[in-house]
Amino acid sequence: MAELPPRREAHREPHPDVAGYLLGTLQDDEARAFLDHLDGCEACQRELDELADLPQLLTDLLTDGPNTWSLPAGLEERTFDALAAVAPREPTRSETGHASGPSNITAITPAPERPRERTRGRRRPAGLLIAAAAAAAVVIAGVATLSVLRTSNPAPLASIRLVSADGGPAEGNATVRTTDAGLTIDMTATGLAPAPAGKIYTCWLVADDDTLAHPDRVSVGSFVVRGPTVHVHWTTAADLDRFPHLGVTVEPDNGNPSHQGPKILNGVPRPR
Amino acid sequence: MLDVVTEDPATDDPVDLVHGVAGSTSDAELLAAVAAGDRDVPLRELYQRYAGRVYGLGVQLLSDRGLAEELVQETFVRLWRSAGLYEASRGSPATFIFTIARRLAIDLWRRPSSRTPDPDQQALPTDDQIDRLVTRLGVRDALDSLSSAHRQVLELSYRDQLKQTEIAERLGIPLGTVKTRSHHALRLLKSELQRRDIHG
Repeated sequence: MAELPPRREAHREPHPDVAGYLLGTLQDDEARAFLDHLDGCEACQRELDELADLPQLLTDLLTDGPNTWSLPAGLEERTFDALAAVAPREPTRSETGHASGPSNITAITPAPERPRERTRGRRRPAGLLIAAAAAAAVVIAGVATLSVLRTSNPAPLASIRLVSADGGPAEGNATVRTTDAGLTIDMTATGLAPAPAGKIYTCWLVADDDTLAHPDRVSVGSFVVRGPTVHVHWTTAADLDRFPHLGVTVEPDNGNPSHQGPKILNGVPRPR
Repeated sequence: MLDVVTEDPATDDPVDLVHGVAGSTSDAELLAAVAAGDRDVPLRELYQRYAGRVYGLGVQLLSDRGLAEELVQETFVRLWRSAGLYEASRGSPATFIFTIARRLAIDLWRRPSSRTPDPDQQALPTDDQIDRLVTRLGVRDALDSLSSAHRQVLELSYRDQLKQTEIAERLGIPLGTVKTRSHHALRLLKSELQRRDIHG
C-alpha cells in the first residue's frame, strides 16, 4: 500500500490511489487511507474533480450495448472517389466575406450578419477545375509549408494565414519577404489573450522532422500581447528550405530557449 | 514519501499529457487546411479520426450498414464542401462534423425507401438520444486509441470489476505498476476525450 504523506503537505505527483478510488478498485483499507489523505490534500481533490466524469462514461459503455464496428473494406477509397468527383470548394467566407457550400450546411452554422451566395450545384468548366486543383496549396497534416508559396516575385515571398491550434478565437496573418539581411516576417494577430504571468509568445520556423521529443526549429522572436491586435516585425537568417513551417507557441520566460509550451497559432498557406 | 511508481517504459506511450499525442495535428488545424483547399492528407486524417464514429452513428440510427456507408461518404463530401464555414467560436470541429452527420442521418432516416416497417422504430431519435450515442461512440473511440496496456487495466477495472490487487495478479505485474498505470490510463483517456470534445 502507498505510504501516505503528512496531511496538507503539497506533493507534485498525484497520490497513487487516485485512479483506484475513482474506479472503485481499492481494497477497503486502501480506500479508507486515501480518504483520510484526501481530506487535507487540495492537489488530490483537484485531480479527483478533473477525472470524476470518467467512471460514468466508462460504465455507460457497458450498459448501452455494442458500440464499435469495423469500417467496411474499401469504404475510404469509395468515399475519396466520390470526393474526387466533387467540384473544388468555393473560397471561404473568411476569405471573401461570402459563405459557400450547401444551403443545409449553412443552416448548421448560420451567420445572418453576413451576406451569402447560393452556390449549390454550381459547376466550373473542366479547364478551371484542373487549374484550381493544380493551384491548391500543398499542406501536410495541416501545417503550412512556406516553400510551396514561393513565387517569382521576390516580395512578398509568402503569405500565411494563421489559425488557432486549439480551436480558440485567435487568428492572424504573416507575410514573409526577402531582404539583403535575410527574411523579414510581418505578423498581425487578433484574439490572442495576454500570456499568463511568467510566459511569452514565441514565433518559430519549424523543420519537417520537428517533434516534441526531438525539436528541430529556430525561434524567430518573442512578443507580448497588450491589446486586441498585435503587430510584430522580425528579421531572421533562417533558411526556409530547412525550416519551412511557421507557428506560434507560448513559452516560459525563464531564459531557456528551447520549445516547451503549447502551440497557439499554426500557419496555413493561402490558396492561390 | 509517496510510493510513486514509474510507469514501465515498455508500455508507456510517447504522449505528452498536456499537449496530447506528440506531433499530432489538431482537428481545427486539419479543418483549416481542408478549408484552404487540400482534400488529400488533411481530409484523409479527418476520415481516420471520424469515419468510424460516423459509421457507428449510421449503424445505430439507421439499422442498415449500407445506409451507414452512404452516411460516411456523404458526410465527408459535405465536410469538404463546407469546411470553410467552420467557425471555432460556434463549437468544436467534432461538433461541426457530427452536426453534418446527424442531419444527413436524419435525412436518410426519413427517406421512405430506406425504412422497413418496424413498429418499434417508427419514432425519429431525439436530439438527446443522438447526443448520448455520439458521446458513447467517442468514448469507445478514445478508449481504443490508448495503448493495449492502458486499455487493459481500465477494462479489467470497469468491465470485469477487479480490484487492483486482482489486476496485478492477473497481469503478473507489481501492484504499484497497476496503480500508476491506472492513473496514466485515466489521464490519457481524459486527454483523448477532450480532443474529441467529450466532457462528462
